[in-house]
Amino acid sequence: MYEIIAENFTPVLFRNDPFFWETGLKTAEYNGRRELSAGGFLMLNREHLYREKHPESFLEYIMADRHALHLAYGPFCDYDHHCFPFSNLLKLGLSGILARLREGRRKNTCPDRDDFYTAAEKGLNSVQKIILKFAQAAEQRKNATEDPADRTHWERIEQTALKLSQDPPGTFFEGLASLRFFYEIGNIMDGIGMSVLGSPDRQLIRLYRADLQAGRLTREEAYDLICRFMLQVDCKLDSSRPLDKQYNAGEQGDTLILGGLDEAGNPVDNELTEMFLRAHEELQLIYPKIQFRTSRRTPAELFHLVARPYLAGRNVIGLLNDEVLIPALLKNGKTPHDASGYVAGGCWEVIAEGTEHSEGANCYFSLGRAMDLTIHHDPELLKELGLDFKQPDSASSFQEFLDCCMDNVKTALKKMLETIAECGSVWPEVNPCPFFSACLDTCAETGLDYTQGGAKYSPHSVPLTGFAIWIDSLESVRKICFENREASLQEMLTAVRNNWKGFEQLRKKVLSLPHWGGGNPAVRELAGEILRELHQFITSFRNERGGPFQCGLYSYSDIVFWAKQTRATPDGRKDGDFLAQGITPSRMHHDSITSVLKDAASLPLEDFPANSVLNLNLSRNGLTEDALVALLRCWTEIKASGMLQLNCISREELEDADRNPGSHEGLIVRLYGYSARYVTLDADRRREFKERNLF
Amino acid sequence: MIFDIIKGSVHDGPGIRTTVFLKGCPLRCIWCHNPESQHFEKELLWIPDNCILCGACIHTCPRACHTISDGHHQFRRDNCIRCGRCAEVCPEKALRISGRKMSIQEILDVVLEDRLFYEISGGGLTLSGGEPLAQVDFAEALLKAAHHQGIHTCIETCGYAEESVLERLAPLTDLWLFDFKADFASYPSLTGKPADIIFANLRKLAEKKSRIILRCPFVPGRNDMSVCRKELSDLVWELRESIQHVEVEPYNPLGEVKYAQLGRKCLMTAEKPSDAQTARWIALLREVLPCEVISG
Amino acid sequence: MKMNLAEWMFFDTWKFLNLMQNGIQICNLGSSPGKFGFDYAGQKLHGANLASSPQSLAMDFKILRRYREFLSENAFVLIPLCPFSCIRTPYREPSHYWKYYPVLPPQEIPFYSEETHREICRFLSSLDDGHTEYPSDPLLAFDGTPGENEMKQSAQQLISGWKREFSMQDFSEKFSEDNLSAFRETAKLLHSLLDYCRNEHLRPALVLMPASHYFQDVFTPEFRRKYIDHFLEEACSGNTPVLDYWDHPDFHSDDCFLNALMLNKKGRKLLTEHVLADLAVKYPDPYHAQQEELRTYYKTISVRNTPLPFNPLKKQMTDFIEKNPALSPM
Repeated sequence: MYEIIAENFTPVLFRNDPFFWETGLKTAEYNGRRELSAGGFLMLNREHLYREKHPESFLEYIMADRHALHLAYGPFCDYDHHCFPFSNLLKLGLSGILARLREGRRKNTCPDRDDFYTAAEKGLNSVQKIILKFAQAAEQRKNATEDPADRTHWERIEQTALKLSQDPPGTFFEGLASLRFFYEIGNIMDGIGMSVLGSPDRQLIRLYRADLQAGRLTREEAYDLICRFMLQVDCKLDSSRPLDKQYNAGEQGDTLILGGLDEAGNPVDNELTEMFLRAHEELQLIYPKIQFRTSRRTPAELFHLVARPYLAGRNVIGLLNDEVLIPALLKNGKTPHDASGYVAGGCWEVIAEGTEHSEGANCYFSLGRAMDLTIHHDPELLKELGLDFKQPDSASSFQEFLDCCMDNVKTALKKMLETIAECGSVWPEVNPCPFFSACLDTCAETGLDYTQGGAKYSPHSVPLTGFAIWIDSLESVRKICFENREASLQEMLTAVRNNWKGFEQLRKKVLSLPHWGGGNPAVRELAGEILRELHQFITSFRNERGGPFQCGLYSYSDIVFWAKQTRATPDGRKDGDFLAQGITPSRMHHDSITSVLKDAASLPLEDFPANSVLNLNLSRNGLTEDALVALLRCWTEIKASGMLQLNCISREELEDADRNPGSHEGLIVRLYGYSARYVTLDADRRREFKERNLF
Repeated sequence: MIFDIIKGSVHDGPGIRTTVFLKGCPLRCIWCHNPESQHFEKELLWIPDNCILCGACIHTCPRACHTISDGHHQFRRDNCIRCGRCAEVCPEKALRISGRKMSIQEILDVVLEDRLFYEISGGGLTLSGGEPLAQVDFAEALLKAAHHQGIHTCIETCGYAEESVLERLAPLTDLWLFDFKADFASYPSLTGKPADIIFANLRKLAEKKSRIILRCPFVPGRNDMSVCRKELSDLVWELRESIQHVEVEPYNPLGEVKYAQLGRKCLMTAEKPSDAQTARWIALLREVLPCEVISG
Repeated sequence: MKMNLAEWMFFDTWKFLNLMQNGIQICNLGSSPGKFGFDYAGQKLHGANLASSPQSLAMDFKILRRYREFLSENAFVLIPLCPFSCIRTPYREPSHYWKYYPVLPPQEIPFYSEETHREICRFLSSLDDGHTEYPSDPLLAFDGTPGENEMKQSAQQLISGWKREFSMQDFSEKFSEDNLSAFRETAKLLHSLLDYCRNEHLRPALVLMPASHYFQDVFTPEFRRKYIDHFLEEACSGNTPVLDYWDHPDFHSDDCFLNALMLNKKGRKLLTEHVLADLAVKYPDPYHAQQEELRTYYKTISVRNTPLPFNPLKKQMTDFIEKNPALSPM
């Protein structure tokens, strides 16, 4: 496959884009699955193996997605949201990677690893051939023109391609070209999706400074290259079309990581960080998505630079908290070097760059639905899901009720995890990725594809969502039925099963109870215990690659669409009410922002290395830049979550945007890991967004 | 007596703050957007739109103030003793009591919950209302307790109080958010009280080298005449050593609805000023003031 | 202290308080020719006229620095050059700077005095009720053309005024010590202003303003060399574009002017259009071509089920598998 791709593709070069990357294969249509590109040929033709090898498990697993219990994207292994191992390419170049692979092969005594080494080598050779074809195409274009500017343009592409076919980049331009090219090639060769464009401030600063010193580059030239580098991504976005009808056939995952700490705990923010932020603002980009890593050592000027777009109605930057994520990664077995180099791909899937793929977006699990299925007796549905849930009706104490709920959620999780482990183990047969694996750490030594667990780390993330529903429901039953005894458990269950109809007084009581985000110590304690228990349970399983399952707290637009299937829950939610994203409190309560942040900070987030996401919508009326910066610093320093999805908006503006969309084209809101123009959102997404708590 | 505590506020002084709203105010500003803050005693708010006619209030009321007939809920406010029992049982918050007593320690406990935020952001405690100076003993004790804990303190005030009140509170207050509501002559008609005491107190604070932010409500047609601008300019020039900056607060029509909920007559109705109107007024003030003028 | 203040003094600078909005993409500095030279209404770019009558280059620079925050990245900054810009020294009368008291911080105002500032604030705040907006300078609304005699007269008056101002009998005479010193200082100041623009990622352009033909005996090629070209050589570094309307044919007609030197409404619109068109050539949008090319490409390949001429891979792969059935479980 690699060789056929390399042999037959035609490089596409652009007169006005200084970089080379377009193979024309991204839209290669193989049986209608656009997003897998040419390298997806294998996967598309072999994914039936998933079903054939374990048909019953397969069906129940897919049913769980249809019934809004957990996602089945992949279905068992996330084939998307990867980060190409840029740091290895930037250090070794293709020839270095090849040498490492050969050395690994030479030393490897396991007899059944030959296929991997052969395929990986062919993959690397094919990529070298692809780059050389770009060089050749550029040379042809150069020779076909007399225009000096054109010749210079093609010459630069030609020389850079020739260089990168073997060696690591030696200049800032080559560094950017490297990131651009390998991002695309990663998307092409193996039928997996790349989401991360790199951490250019961290990865290219030495090249940039060396170029400046040697007089090879000026700051203005570098800024121009940065603009062009990011513009290509933005050009994929056709603002006349809805988001789900874009070139990428879906919400775009192109992410750029800036800022953060190095392994010694020193901030890496530098002049490139500022330039990328300024360019993103100047060009008014939505994509690439910038994920800005903060720490207590982030300088105030950068916080201000990050805060400014929000106050101008551009809610486009995602914030990652090194104070939470680095300790979480360290606790979960990463070295300081690997932990400090983390990226968040796609929306928020934390990956230790160059060493793993963390499978972060394949199996979001809805605690809200688990609570629904516990309360609403539905034997047929449970049968379809292959789940044997206990009934809570006979619980005579809160502990019994809690045990019933936790047993049920563990039953559902166990089924999901075991199915992933069992069915996912077919993945190396369905879609091995030798080229990608060869570029990751350790696969060269182990001789195993990353799908077989050959990479340095092989975690599989298990993101939970609807957390607030779970906690508030438990607290509601505890308080109402077993502490205050204002209603019996049976009465509570009847109320919920009837969607609260006829039980308005009871619902009122429930809504006035302590709840997640309200600053109540007992609720915090309960929340912490629940998460610790779930963490312990989830991490006791081994995944499809023999690695650990790791925990996360987030989900995607499922909070909108799964909500429609999720029935009333004891926290006061009615049928169809939206779910709560990540660790965000329920929208039925309106607490102070400080209570929400403190509750979030009380959680054992170091046990959630996959990420822990908090959504906050702030009212822009009267909000100053200083106040916003103060809030961001507080969020960082008290370690309130791994990621903050922030919006600064005004209700009046949203209402006017509904009435007069033409006057609000520039209003961009942060949704579920991505940003979009508010006026392009469908009715469901708009409603969900408007109903979020506004602080 | 307080009527609210808001944590995580970024609008009542620097940094992230906890604002304690004291109930009761000597003034009756015609544009007041928190009319429930004016009376010193508890009050009942009745919000008919929220009522679901469940009748729970009928059974709990000791004075038979509530009746439901022909699909309508009638509330006899003149009978009401504001015991709050109906508000406790109302499932949809159609009945709410404004005002509760809290001890200093109870309030301080709430304030201290966010200490870490104050340290990081340079925030603290703000006393607002209503009028904090009207409950001087309480205010003094709370500010003292906050200072004792190393917490930055701020008072938001209309300035109408005896001089002795300021003497007691000024040493405990790190920042004053002092209202400048109108020109001198218009104070009685617009606020119900004369301005002489108020301006004298402002001068007193400046003499004490207190740090002051002037807060100017902007109510087009009422307090945006040139005489108002002139007096503000003269005053700020006179006291410029103490005045950090001026904040303009556009009129908020929220209060109009609340008057109805309290069963009281609204003193004024008006539209919220447009952004352009507010920007123009701020520009006019910037023209004549020696300090920064910002939108609150 | 009694000062002779008048409302009209503050007409021009009121706009800095009231009209400045974020995201200004083009602005001009300048004195009267600048104030009457540009009108951005109805143009694609969001523009602001930062000139006032009169305004020295030094004050241009201060205004630019103070209001930089309202300009977008890469905003255009037009610096009008008039016949005697090169030797115009900063004004020495404190009253010239009174209009800046409301809009600049004290340290930026020459001869600043707190007493003066207070008096100005007192004056402005005592303006009548109904002070809703400063009226625009009525000359800005002037759309007509003065007659030939009036034009001649205004040219004569201006020439006499310049001779007095710069102590010259003849504009071709050698610069006096004072004028030479002013020349050097002004060149240095312009150089600094251009550097500032570049450092702030703004895009400066020098604009040689048009003058009516009533000066043709004065504004000779020799004059131009001495007062303009030589000055630009001294002052400019880098590649600052010079937009030259000194002798532009579109401004040979009297109907563009309200006096011999200042443009009327029609003339100002015309000059603005010329400037915008010329800027697009001097400072082409660096990314437009890239965006157009890529967007066109993405549009062509984003249509589903379109056969892709450069992608024969599907057939290749299928053929390969057919020849190697052992490799396929398909």
